[in-house]
Amino acid sequence: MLEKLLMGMVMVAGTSIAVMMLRVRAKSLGHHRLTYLCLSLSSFALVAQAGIELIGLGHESGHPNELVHASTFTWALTSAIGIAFVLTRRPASSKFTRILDVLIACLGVFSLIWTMAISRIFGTAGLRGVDAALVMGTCAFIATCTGLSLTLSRVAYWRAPPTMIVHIASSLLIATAQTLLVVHFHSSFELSLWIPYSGVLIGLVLFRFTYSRRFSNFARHFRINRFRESLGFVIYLPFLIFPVVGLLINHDHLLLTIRNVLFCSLVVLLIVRIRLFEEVAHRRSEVLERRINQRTNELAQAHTLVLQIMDVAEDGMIAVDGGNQPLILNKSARTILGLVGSKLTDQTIDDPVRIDENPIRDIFATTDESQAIGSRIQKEIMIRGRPRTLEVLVRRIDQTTDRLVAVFRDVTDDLSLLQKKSRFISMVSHEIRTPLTSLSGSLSLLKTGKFGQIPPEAGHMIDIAVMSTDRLVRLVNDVLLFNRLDGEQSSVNLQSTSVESIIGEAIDSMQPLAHSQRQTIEADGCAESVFVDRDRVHQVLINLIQNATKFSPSLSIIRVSAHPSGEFVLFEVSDDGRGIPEANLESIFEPFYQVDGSDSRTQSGTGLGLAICRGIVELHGGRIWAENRIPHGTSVKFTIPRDIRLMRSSDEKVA
Amino acid sequence: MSGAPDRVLLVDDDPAIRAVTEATLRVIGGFDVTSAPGGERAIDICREQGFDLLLIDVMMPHIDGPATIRAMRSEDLLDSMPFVFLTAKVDSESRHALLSLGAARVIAKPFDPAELVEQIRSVMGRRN
Repeated sequence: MLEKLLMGMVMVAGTSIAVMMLRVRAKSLGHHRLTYLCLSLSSFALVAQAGIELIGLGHESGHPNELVHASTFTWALTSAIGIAFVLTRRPASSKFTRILDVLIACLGVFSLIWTMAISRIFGTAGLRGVDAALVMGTCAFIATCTGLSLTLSRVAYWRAPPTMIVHIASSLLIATAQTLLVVHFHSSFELSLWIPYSGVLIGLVLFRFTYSRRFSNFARHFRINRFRESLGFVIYLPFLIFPVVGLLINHDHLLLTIRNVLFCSLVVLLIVRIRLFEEVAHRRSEVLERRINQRTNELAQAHTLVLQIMDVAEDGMIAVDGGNQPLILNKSARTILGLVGSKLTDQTIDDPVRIDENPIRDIFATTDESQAIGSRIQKEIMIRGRPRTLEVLVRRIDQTTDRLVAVFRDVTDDLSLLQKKSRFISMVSHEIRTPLTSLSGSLSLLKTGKFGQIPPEAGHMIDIAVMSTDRLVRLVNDVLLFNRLDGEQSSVNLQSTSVESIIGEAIDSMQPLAHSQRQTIEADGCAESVFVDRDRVHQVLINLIQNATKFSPSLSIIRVSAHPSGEFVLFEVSDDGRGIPEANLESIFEPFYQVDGSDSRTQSGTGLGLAICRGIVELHGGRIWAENRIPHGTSVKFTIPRDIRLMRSSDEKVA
Repeated sequence: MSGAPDRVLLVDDDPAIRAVTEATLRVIGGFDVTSAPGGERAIDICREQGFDLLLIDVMMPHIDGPATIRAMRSEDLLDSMPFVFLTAKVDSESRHALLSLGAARVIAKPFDPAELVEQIRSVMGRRN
C-alpha cells in the first residue's frame, strides 16, 4: 500500500509539473484559451486518476478498471490536443511544418484512441500495467519535449536556471514514476526507462555549456559551429528507445504491435518536427543577423557619406540634442570653433562625446527664442580666449524633438575688413577736406578782388577753379554720406515727425536753387506722421528735388507729394524734364552711374545722389524706383514705412 | 566801441587753413585776428588777453578742440567769449556733440568765405 501511495504521489507530482510548465509556456507564447483549457483539463484528469489509484478504486483483481481507463483517456487526449494547439499555433511556420504538426496531432490522438480501443477489446485482462506505463510515458514525453522544443530555440530560456531546473526535475520525476510503475508489474523494463531521461539530463547540461563563452572560443578554435545543432538532435534520440523497447516486448499480439508502431512513428515525427523547429528558428536568427549587419553597414556608409558631404561645406554645421550635446558636427565647425585635435574629432553618431566647451553652448544660447531660431544673427563668441563674431542660423531639426542644428561662419575678418575700409574712406575724406578748405578759401578770396584787380580771363579761370573745388567738396561729402550708409555706422536716429513738415523743409531749402532756374516747386503733402530718421529722409528729398531742378527746363513745375499707401507712405518727386531711357531706369540708382556722359549738366553732380537715396530708403525698409511720365518727365517714387519698428516685427513673424 | 575792430582768436593746426581763414576774416570781415597753431598756445594767449570770439578747429594734435574748450572753461576764460567750431566732420551726430559743448555755431570745412564772415558776425550780434 505504501509503495502504491508513494508511486502515485511521485507520478502525479511529476506529470502535473510537466503539464503546468507547458501551460506557462503556452501562456507566455500567446496561445489562445482553448490550448490553456485543454492543458488544464489534462492536469485535472491526471490528478483525478492519481486519486482513483490511491483510494484503490482503480483496480479490480490487479488490473486497471473503467475509471482508470476513462481518466487516462481524458488527460491523454486533452494533452495531445493541447500540444497539437501549441505546435500548430506557432507563428510564421512554413507550410510543410504546419502539415507535419497536424499529422503529429492526428497521429497522437489516433494512437490514444487505438490504445483505448485495444483495452476495450482485451478487457481488463488485456491492458497490462506495462501498457499503461507506455501510454503515460509517451504522453509525458510529448509534454516534456514539446515544452523543451518551445524553449530550446530561445537563448533566454537557458539564462533562466530555475525554469530549466524545474523542467529537468519534472522529467526525472516522470522517469521515476514510470520505473516504479513498471517495476511493480514487469521488473525487466526498468533499465530501458532510465535511458531516455538520463540522456536528456546529460544533453541539457551539455546544451547549456554550448551557450557559454568558453564553448564559443572552443568551437571557434576547432571549427565545430554545428556542434550545438547536432547535440540538440542527440538529446531527443534516447526517447526513441522507449517505444522501441515497448515494441520489442509487446510482440504477442498484432493490435498491440500496431499501437507500438504508432507510438514509434509519433516519436519519430515529433523529433523531426522539433528539429525542423530549431532549424527554422536558427535560420531565422541567421537571416536576421545578416540583415542587421547589412543595415548596420548601410547606416554606417550613409553616415560617412553625410559627414563627407558636410565636410565639403565651408560653413560650420553642428547638430545638438535638447541638452546641447553635439550629435554631429562637420570639419568647418571644428575649425571655426577651434576644436581640431580635441576629443570632438570623434565622428561616430552613436557615441556623441559629452562636452562642456563654451562655443557650442554659446551658439545655441538664445536670449529670445523667436528672435534666435530661424533667423541669421551675429553672435560674439569666445573661441580659444579670443572674441569672434559668428553669423549663426539656428533651426529646429524637426517639430517633434528639441534637437537643433546651427549653420554658422566666422565673419570677424570680414567685419573688421569692412570696418577698416569704412574707416579708411572716412579718414581719406577728412584728409582731403583740409587742403580743400584752404584751396576753396584762397580761390574765393582771390575772386573778391580785395588783393588787386584780376584780368577777365584769369577771373574766368578762377571761376572754373571755384566750381571744380565746389564739386570736389560735394563729392567728398557724398562719399562720406554714402560710406556711412554702409556697415556698422548705419545707425538710424528715429523720431516721430509729420510728412508735411519733412516736405516743407526740403522745399524751403531748395527754393533758392529753383528760383535761380525760374522753376516752381509744388507741394502736396499729407497729414500722416511717420517714425523715421528725419535728417536722412530730408536728405533723400533734397537730392531728388535737386536732380529734378537740374534736369527740368526753365519755367517748369516740380511736384513733391506724399500719400499713405498701406503700411507705407509713398513719396513722389516729379518733373517735366526729358525723362530717362527705359533701359536706365534701374541703373540710375547705382553709384557713379550717368545716363549720358555728354550732358554738361550732369557734370555738376557727384554721381552718388541717387545711390545715397536708395541707401537711405532701404535702410528704412522701403523701396525706391523711377518712372517716366507721359508725355514727358520723370517721376521718382519711394516708400517709407509709417513705423519702422512695426515693419521689423512683422518681418520676423513672417520669417 | 565802434572804432576798435572785433578781436577773433583763430586756432587751427593746419598753416594753410590758418592763413586763408585769417585772410578771410581780416579782408572780408575786417576783424582783428590772432591765430594759434594749437590748444596750449591758444590757452596761453587767452590768459593774457581777451577776445570777442574764438574760432577753433576740432581735430588737432596734442589737445583737440573740445579738450581746449574744457580747459579754457575750467579757467573761466570762456565766460565772456563765445566760440565757434570749425570742423571737417559734417555728420549730424558730431555736430550735435559739438553744439552740446556750448558752441555758438559749428561751421563745416570747407567753408564759403562770405558765409563764414556772416556766421561770425551773427554770433557777435553785429551786422555791417
